[in-house]
Amino acid sequence: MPSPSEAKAPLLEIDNVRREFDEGQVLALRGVNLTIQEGEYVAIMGSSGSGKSTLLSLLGALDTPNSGEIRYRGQSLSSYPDLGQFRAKHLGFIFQSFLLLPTLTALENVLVPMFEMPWPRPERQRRAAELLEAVGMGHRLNHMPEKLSGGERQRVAIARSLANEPSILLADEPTGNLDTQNAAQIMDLLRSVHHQRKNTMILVTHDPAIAKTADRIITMRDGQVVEDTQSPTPTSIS
Amino acid sequence: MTLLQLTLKNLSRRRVRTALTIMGIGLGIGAVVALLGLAWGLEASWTDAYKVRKTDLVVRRSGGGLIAQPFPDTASEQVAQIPGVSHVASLLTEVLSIESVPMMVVSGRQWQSFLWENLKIVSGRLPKDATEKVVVLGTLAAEMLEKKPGDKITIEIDEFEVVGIADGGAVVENGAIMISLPLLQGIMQKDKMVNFINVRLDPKSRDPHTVSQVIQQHIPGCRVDIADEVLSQSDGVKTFKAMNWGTSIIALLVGTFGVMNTMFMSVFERTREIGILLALGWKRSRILRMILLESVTLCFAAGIVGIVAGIALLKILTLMPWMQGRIEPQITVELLSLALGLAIAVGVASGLYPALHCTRINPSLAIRQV
Ligand SMILES: Nc1ncnc2c1ncn2[C@@H]1O[C@H](COP(=O)(O)OP(=O)(O)O)[C@@H](O)[C@H]1O
Ligand SMILES: [Mg+2]
Repeated sequence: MPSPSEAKAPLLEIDNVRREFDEGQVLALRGVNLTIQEGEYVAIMGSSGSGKSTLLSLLGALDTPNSGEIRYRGQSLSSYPDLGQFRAKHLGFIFQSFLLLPTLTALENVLVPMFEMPWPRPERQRRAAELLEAVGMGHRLNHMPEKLSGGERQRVAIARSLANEPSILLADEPTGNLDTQNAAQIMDLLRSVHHQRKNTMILVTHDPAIAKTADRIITMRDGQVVEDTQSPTPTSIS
Repeated sequence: MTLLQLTLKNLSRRRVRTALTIMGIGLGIGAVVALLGLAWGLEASWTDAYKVRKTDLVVRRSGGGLIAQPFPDTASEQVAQIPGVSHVASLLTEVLSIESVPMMVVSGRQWQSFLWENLKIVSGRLPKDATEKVVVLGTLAAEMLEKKPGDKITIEIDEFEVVGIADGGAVVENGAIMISLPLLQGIMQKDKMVNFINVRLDPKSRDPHTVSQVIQQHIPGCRVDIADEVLSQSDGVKTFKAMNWGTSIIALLVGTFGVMNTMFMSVFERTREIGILLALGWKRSRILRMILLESVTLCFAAGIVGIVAGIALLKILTLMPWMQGRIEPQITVELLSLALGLAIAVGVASGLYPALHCTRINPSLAIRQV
């Protein structure tokens, strides 16, 4: 259902979203309001348990709010008949613990999201290899995840998150399992991916140093947004 | 990379579990192959026997199992009078313990009837007349009893000479001892009694169904079977087949729950991976297909294993003394396709529930990093 305001609707609007767990015992999000524009590089920062991952799950259409609304380009996510298809079309995910499929090689892991894409087999292969090349993993195409270092695994995961050419990349603590040096490299990689592909980046972190690499920092506490600032000079942590 | 390749990778992840599951359902399929091969073989062996005898109808007393109850031979004269009947041959068939063989078919055949015509003598000769105290052995019976022409053989308490070995053209004929009807009636003290009448029809006459109805009307208490269907009509064979099916279904059910258990273990272990696939945009229907493909692949492999095991079992059974001369197991394309079809059906049945479970996985819970 195209809305009349579609042309100028923001990419994502979060409108008074609440999310409870355990029959209301846990209030993970207590009325969150946010607007994210196309092409932004946003960090969601806050201490552990503040509701960052819950919010990211909702933005990633992996979960649905108890109340409130999330709109993508003006259209409510609750009106999509198939959120899986929405994810397949528009979203890429990067996780703290990489979440590569252990039985598949690096290349095969990148091929997984392409099952839902209308490309012929040789094109999928080519695209997957190119993506791995682009994240500096061109020499590890046929390696199993267990044979890769943490930093390498996250590079494969980043390549995989780009496999469906998403407009939005969602990263939950992408450097949480990495040492400082690898973390810095991954953050640089994400920054350059954003620079080249112009996709919207939403990055969750508890680490202020990581958050400072973003253009905008949204701070959460106890399930609410407490601060939302544009960073005039995003820094590199390397 | 295809869904099948993904499936094979998943199955090879837990090789021991996959192998044991394949063994479990494979044995079930093996039981189906062996038991149905036997049941079908039993029918085919008797159909063959009537074919070589050129018997069109079989008259017997109604009721009773595989071996029918005796009745007076006067019935055969009545049957012979019925229009459309060209020849009749009375038969007293007994299953007796003969020397070292516990169960042996002894076939007392009306002398000078067509029941002696299909016997091709391979050594020795046929009896001279109805009263000569001799027997002819089918080739398999001769092997089992280890007899050759000139040897003596004891039936119940009487001693007879083996005068000939004959190839009857069908396993049931070759497994039997052929003797003239009055001699067997004497041994069994069933004077003038028979338990089967084999009927040949006039080739130009009415169809077998009509003639069989006329016979049934003329002779009260009898039952007439068309030779092709004689065994499938028999209560004994019906029971045998029902028991075989029953055993097969139980074996398959046990296997099905085994596969279901394996599939559930496998998908529970992979909840997070399935969550990842969902997060990456996989359709729930694709997850469903992947899990179903896994269980179907598992069961297909088990089908192959089961067919090999079932055939091996049948081959071993064929070597058993009590099987020889009685049943030639049927290993037909139909049987093997049925086995594979059942294997695939088990795959779908056992994979469906685990697969449906997977489609209900909530991706955000499945991949939650704590
Ligand atoms: N599936 C869940 N069931 C119960 N409680 C949950 C669940 N997911 C999150 N929570 C709770 O909601 C709160 C916010 O969690 P989360 O969004 O993971 O925080 P963060 O990512 O900021 O550390 C925490 O108290 C957490 O325990
Ligand atoms: Mg978190």
